[in-house]
Amino acid sequence: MGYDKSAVDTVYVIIYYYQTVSYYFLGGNVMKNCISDEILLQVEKPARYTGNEINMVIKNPQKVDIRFGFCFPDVYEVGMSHLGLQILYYFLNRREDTYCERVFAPWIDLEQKMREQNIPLFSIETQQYVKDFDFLGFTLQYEMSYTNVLNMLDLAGIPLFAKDRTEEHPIIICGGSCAYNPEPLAEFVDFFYLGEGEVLYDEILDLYKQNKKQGGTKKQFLEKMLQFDSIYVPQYYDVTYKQNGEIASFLPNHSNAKKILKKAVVTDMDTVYYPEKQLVPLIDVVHDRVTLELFRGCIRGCRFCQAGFVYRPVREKKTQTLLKQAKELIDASGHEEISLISLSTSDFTCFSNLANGLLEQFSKEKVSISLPSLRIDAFSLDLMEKIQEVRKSSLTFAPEAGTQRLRNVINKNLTEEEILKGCELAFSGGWTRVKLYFMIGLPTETEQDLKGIASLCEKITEKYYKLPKQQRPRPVQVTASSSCFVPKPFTPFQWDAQNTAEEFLQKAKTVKKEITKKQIKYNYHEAKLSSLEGVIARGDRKIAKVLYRAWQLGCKFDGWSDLFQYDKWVQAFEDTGIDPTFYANRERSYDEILPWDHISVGVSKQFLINEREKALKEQVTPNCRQQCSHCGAKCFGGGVCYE
Amino acid sequence: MNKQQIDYTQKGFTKPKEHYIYRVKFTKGEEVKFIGHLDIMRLFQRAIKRAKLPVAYSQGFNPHQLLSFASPLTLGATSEGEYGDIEMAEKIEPYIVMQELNKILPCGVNIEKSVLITEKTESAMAAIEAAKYIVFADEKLNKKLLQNQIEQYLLQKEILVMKKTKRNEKITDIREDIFDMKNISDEYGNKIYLYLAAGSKQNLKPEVVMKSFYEFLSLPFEKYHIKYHRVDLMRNDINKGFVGLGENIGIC
Repeated sequence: MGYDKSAVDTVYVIIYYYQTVSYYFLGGNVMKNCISDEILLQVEKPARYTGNEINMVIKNPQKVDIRFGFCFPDVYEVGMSHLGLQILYYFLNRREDTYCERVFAPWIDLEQKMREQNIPLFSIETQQYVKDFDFLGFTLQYEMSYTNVLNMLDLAGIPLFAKDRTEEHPIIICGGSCAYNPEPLAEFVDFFYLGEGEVLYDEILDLYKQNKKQGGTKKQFLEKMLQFDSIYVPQYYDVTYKQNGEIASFLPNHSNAKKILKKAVVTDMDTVYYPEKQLVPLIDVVHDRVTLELFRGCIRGCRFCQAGFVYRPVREKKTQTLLKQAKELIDASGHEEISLISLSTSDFTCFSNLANGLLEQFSKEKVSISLPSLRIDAFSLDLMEKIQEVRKSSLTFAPEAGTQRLRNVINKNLTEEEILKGCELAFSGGWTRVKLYFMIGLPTETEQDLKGIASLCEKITEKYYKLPKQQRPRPVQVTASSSCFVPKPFTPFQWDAQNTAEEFLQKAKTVKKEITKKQIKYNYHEAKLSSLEGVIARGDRKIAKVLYRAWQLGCKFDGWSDLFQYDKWVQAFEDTGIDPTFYANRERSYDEILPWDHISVGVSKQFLINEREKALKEQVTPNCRQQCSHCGAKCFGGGVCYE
Repeated sequence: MNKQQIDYTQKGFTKPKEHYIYRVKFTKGEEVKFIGHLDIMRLFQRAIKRAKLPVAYSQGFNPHQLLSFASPLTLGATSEGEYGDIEMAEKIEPYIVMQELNKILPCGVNIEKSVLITEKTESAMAAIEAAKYIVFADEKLNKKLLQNQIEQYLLQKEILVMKKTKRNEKITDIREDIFDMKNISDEYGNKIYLYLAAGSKQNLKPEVVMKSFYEFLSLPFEKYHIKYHRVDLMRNDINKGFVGLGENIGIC
């Protein structure tokens, strides 16, 4: 059980040290270091590359049939904070015949050394070259990591385009939330896994093993993948385009290829595999804590939110299951914090039972509980008082839009009254700082809506000054941030035009001008990055050329503002003759074939059309627990649709 | 697992009147040599928690475990002589601390010794007076000449180096802080034993000595080619002179 040191193949280097009259065993587990100490000493945070974390899985690579590289196209600290990695790592490693190892994008300092000295990309566990693995599975969490996917393949010494790869190369898989529009990466990937990993990976790996034993080729294996509803093998589909660049047809070119693919969904969250331990990094990472997943999906249906549609239906775990998993995870990790995560934690039906249960379990053990994505009401404030090592620093709200009209358009079920009431409660409870998140560039937005951001902030500060003076220890601070709206596939706004970077900037300035009080601070996000995200998010196969060119020009880590090179992207569009405005700033008609139309996430296109029409009429849609709106996700046979 | 489950959590965490401080001596092997001092501390905090040892917590809003660790080691160096003091809320057998932690510490960190110390014992950090190292030097040194070269180096009346302080650099004489230096090369390579002053009063890093030694020999000093291994941290015992930090202090 757990971390078994004796399982390590060890070679000891014995040093005789004459004064202490003792033999000392230097080193233990001798890894095949492909990165020398000399290099590691010259890069930032070398422990990013050396593994050996608590609960790391150690296997003898020679004794497994399948070597799987779980690739996170970003730096170690980001990837290690990703729950999907923690789940799939143990899920795949629970198979005796498979060794799943982690692979991260090396930071630019190490990449430079690797390229200088011809060191190919390696895994964390064994530090062996990933080009010799059977599978490399990339998780796509955000569009701006796509150049890192290409860069990692190149660093590994693997041809980027699927058509250039042979039997000797690993099979390249992509999954994760961005895989629901696989087209921009279609030419680089052997197959996309659509949906939740726990459902099909066992079958896939069994088939792979069988195929390998029978001496089957990669092509034969990929053909076998066509039997699955949730596996998309791009090479078996052909796209043709109209003169104007729109898709004319999107058709299978193989008799077994499904016309419509459908995401894989776990129907019973209580019986599905969940690891009883988590990797505990030895260095500081972005989220350094145990994560407990309460449920998948979201009942809310905010119209801008892709996660709210692609993860439907809501499927909860039972409180008993969660309490058991929480205890196991804390016992196996020694973490001092447990984070309850989901898309909207206060929507968990037995939230107070769970919270009280955890409180009881952990207060003695000095484990703190953190609750991201909480709605602020009297109950949750009371809870926060109780469970967090209350630093009363700041509270966060996400009104998303400045006026009730626009909040109705986006179906954000949060009224001004609720926001003000929440702030009032927070202020009288001792909080003095409030953070507010907004989006600019939402469909139907007017100048009034932008000014509404400023006036909402002002109303909040006024609430504070209505408190008796003795309850106001220091001046109130309201920080409003706005991000730029990016229309995403599988949302009611998937047909809408995105604002241009100039328009975003203009709008941010409008908001800024309205804010006069010194207690209110306003920040806005980089508009150029959002514009680019808008292109890739709704991109088709033609975007591959741009990605490839941008990568050639040196783009990588685009999500890191200090490394983002907008001018290179502009050049990539020019060099490839692709017009970014066609993808980002153009409104589509309902009958246009969208690049992701061959994929179903359960939510029907008709439902999305209805939602968009309601948005334009400023009508709201009740959440899944109030009333079923027949989105289509009932077809999966589980979750909230059957409660 | 034959681990004896003791539920210490029932006893509460209020600070006891008596202080049960355990000094542990541990290794920092190849596998964890890139883990910095603060991260090693956190690694111990989590290990103590997983081992369910009855660790004592500080009072206040943000309780933390009462731990203190001795002299940080340069990133990339290994050691078989690291020390930390852990305060427990109740008295337990010292070997339990070692046994339970060794079950779960990651590869490369292994507790070699654990003693219960008295409250009056100086903390591990404060007690340090000297440190012993093995230096794995590169091939630029000539094995045959090395012993003689070291002797010549030590014969100097003063050895001046540029020492960086927080604000600026200043020239310092380090000769007195080198207690011993020997050639211990073998068939595996060039190795040098160093016995240096360490701690809060005088502190001499092995890298500084090696750089000055290479300069003395007019050899280029390539710092990434040289590896350091700490053998032990020493304190000055009234009766016994220099001994390891964990020696002659146990009260049981």
